[in-house]
Amino acid sequence: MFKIEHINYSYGSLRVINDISLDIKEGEFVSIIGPSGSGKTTLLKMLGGLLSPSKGSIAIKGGSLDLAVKRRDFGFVFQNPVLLPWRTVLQNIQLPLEIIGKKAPVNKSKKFLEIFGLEGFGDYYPAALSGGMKQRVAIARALVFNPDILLMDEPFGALDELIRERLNLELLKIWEQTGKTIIFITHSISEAVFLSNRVVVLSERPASIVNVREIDLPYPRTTKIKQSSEYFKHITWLREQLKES
Amino acid sequence: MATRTTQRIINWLTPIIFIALVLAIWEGLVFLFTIPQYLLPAPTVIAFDFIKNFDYLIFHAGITLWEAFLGFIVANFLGIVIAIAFAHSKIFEKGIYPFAIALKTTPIIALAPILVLWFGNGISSKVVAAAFVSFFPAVVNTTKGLRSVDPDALELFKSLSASPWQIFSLLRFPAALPYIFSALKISTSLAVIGAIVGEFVGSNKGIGFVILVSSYHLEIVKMFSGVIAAALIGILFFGMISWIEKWVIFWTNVED
Repeated sequence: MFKIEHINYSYGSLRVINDISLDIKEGEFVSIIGPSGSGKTTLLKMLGGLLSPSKGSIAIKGGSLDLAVKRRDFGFVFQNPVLLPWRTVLQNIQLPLEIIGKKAPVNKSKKFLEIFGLEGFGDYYPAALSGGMKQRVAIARALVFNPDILLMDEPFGALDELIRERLNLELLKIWEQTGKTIIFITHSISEAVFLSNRVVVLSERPASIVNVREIDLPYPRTTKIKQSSEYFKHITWLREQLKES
Repeated sequence: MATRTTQRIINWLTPIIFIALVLAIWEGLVFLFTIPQYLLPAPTVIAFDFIKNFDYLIFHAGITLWEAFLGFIVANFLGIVIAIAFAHSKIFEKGIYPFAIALKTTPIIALAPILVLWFGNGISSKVVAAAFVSFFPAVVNTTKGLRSVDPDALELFKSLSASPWQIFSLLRFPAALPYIFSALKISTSLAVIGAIVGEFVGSNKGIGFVILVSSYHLEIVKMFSGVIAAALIGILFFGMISWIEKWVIFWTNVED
């Protein structure tokens, strides 16, 4: 799906990304971990066509990123929910459809509320929601127009552990049902291991790939695997890699 | 809940008690030192005069409020349009901004005679004067508001390949509304000042005219009534806009 070849990125004279190459298959769940400030977000923005690499190239489905943005291939979820406070929950979820110019049938939107445990909250304004619920709305908004690729930038970073765990499970369920390609940034090693097919470890800035780990734990995953020795092995290995970075 | 309602009552009552206290002291001092009425009339005397001339004051205050209101509408409409142009074009901003500053720093009192010369003794010169002073806050605040957009939200719109018009109408403009309303509220009092200054320079109607004429005739009590009417116009105008603001910008009251 993605073919990333020798990309570099600099903000002025500050080098952020240093020669990253990576292939991502369709339907894959890839997590990217790395020290904070290492350029993970910059990398994600480049993958989503919001920034262009200073050097190198990114191809998607054999075509350019601009084309993919025009096709609306990307659903973004940011660390903050970025909800528009003057729109209700339902109106926030439907925002992409409004921009694209597609009117979703009301019952489909209602179904979305249900999937994300937001039924009864459709007419609420974001200010009345908890952090976890806001982030659910943000994910629902990213999925509502059915993009092929979900780009998530530490979406659960600001949430407490229990809610994070629940949303992890929900995300896995959605991924298994829809088969979307998900690129997920986190600074939690355990979250990355729990969710992903593959974990990419980035170095300190300027970020380059230190190593890539296949996570061969079977799906569907439940919280039980968090007690398995395999799970710990992956975590320990990744922690070592991060230290070396 | 009970404590909250009592708190609200206290919040209301405190300024009222203070105002009553100030008025009582004023009344007492006038009585105690037998201050002559042509220097400082007692509050009760002003109140009686205000009630006696109520219709007359309302008529003139209404004219001033109308002038201020028209000027306010013109200024804010233009101000918002120009701010939108600013937000989309740095060159336009660089070219126009110095003029806006020059407009702001020119005292309205110095300009009023020219406005009356150009637009005559009637209502239009006052409307222009009111517009003139309330224009600047609209430009500055709206520009600031349009630029205040959360960068993440902007990226969200870009990732959806939103058109410039969609970014403006669905994101920038609503995000700027709280800023625009704060400008509108500032403008209300400025517009009243502009209208009254215009009336001072040349008019035969309006609360500025009432105050000026009573000062010629040394009718000090009537002057005070006029001043109070002028203050009431400002309060009414401000209250109206605040009320509309509460309806339009419902989300900032509950924002965390």
